Amino acid sequence: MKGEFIHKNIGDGGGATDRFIREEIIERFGNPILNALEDSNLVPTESSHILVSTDSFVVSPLFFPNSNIGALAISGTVNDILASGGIPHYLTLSLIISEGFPLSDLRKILETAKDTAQECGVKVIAGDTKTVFMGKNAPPTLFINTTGIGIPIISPQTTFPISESKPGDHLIITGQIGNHGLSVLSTREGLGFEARVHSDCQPLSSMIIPLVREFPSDIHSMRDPTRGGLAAALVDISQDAHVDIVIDYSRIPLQKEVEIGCEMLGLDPMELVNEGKMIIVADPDHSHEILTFLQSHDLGKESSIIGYLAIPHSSNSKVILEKNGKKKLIIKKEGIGIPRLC
Amino acid sequence: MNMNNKGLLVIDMQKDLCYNPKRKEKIMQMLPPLKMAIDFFSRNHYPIFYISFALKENDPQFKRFGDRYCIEGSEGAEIIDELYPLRGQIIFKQKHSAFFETDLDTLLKKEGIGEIYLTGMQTQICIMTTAADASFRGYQPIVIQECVLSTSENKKKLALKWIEDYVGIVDTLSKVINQDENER
Repeated sequence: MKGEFIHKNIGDGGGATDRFIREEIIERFGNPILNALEDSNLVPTESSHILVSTDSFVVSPLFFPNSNIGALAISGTVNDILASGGIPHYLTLSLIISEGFPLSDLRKILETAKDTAQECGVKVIAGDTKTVFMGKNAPPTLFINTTGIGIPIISPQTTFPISESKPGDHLIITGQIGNHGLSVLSTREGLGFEARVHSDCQPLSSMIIPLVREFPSDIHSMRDPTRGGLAAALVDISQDAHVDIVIDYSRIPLQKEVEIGCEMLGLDPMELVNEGKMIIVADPDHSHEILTFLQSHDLGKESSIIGYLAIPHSSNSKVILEKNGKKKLIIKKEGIGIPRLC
Repeated sequence: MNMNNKGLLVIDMQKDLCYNPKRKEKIMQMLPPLKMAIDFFSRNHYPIFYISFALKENDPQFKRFGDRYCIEGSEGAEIIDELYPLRGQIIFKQKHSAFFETDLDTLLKKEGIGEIYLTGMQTQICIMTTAADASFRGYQPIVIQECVLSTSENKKKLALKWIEDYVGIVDTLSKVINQDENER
């Protein structure tokens, strides 16, 4: 490191790397496993099976209303483990930092990552740091990869795969959709919504772990609607479980500013990324109990039953959205882009 | 603070954007009512702010939109000659909304401004986002319809409808002037 900016030598394995790991990583994330600093670290588990999930985070901008890439990198992977019925225990944390990245920004991001990891009780047990040269005029940036390890909350047989979803099941979403996607887009483009629309980025451990313990056999599957939003997740459920899905648009929790922002930009809130929501496919006889449980938790106050699964009418299962008395098919798009701006 | 005062925003009336052949003809048609609006606000001592892009050489929007414009300090970033002499201060911005990381909010509050009159271009981008941002910050945005433009008339129509539906008011210049005179 030179001055207050990241220098390429923090990734070359020399003294600067040692100093960086000690002062910036161990100082924040240190624990007996990580502190060993071996080529690989031995970790104890309480289960015959583990759940593993990995994700890379390349968001721009790195800071957005209510959060930053540090929280996103922790909660994104933690929520993936939760969706498969796991208790997240451990994470790896890899940083790819462009030369010239401001050290003060990196510290803010690492502090947020530390706080988020502590909030959901996960330990960072391994990591890596590399620096890259992105070009003379390229703005400084940072990419993060995290890999999560969890153990089943109930048993290795209870991982809530989509294939367990059945016709008749109810679909629950645990809160307002689209906030993260619009918040990041608005901050990147300066669209004026960032003052009101904040990211929902947060780990869901405190809500999902007790929920699964309470309703282990009434929850059939779970999915977190991140990239591609609610729409893509519903299409995945429909295709993988071979069911039709019927959604009542009026029951989807939506912040007014997200709705009008999407109308301004020609976007569909159902296609916007979420980073702190879960879709729960539930037994219809117990879905209202599950809903009450979720609504009693701070993270699930606005949970809603938004639709149901049905026997497909043809060999091609589909997702049908009922909105203002009309029916529309939901499909997975190639990309959402930024339409109608210029 | 009394927030009854009025302010005028003249948005993105810069050489690179206005002298672009795609828009020049429409800009020239819009100039007479725009100058009339500026004159009216100036005569009545309502603050006027000229909102201008001042972009870095490597601004990511250039890559996306395939065009380079309004680079900080360049001649193309200057306000068009037709609007000189200026009757207010220039506020530099880097994004679409005039409020995004600028001092505009602070300056408006300092002047006790509650009603913001929006003019300039383009209706479906910077006018729309500034109107939304103003509304969320507690101001009343009013778009003067002859004094805003879009390259496409349909885009302007849709943008004005969206503003009226959700965040503000769309009025003609004569109505804005008459209403002001009636209030005196």
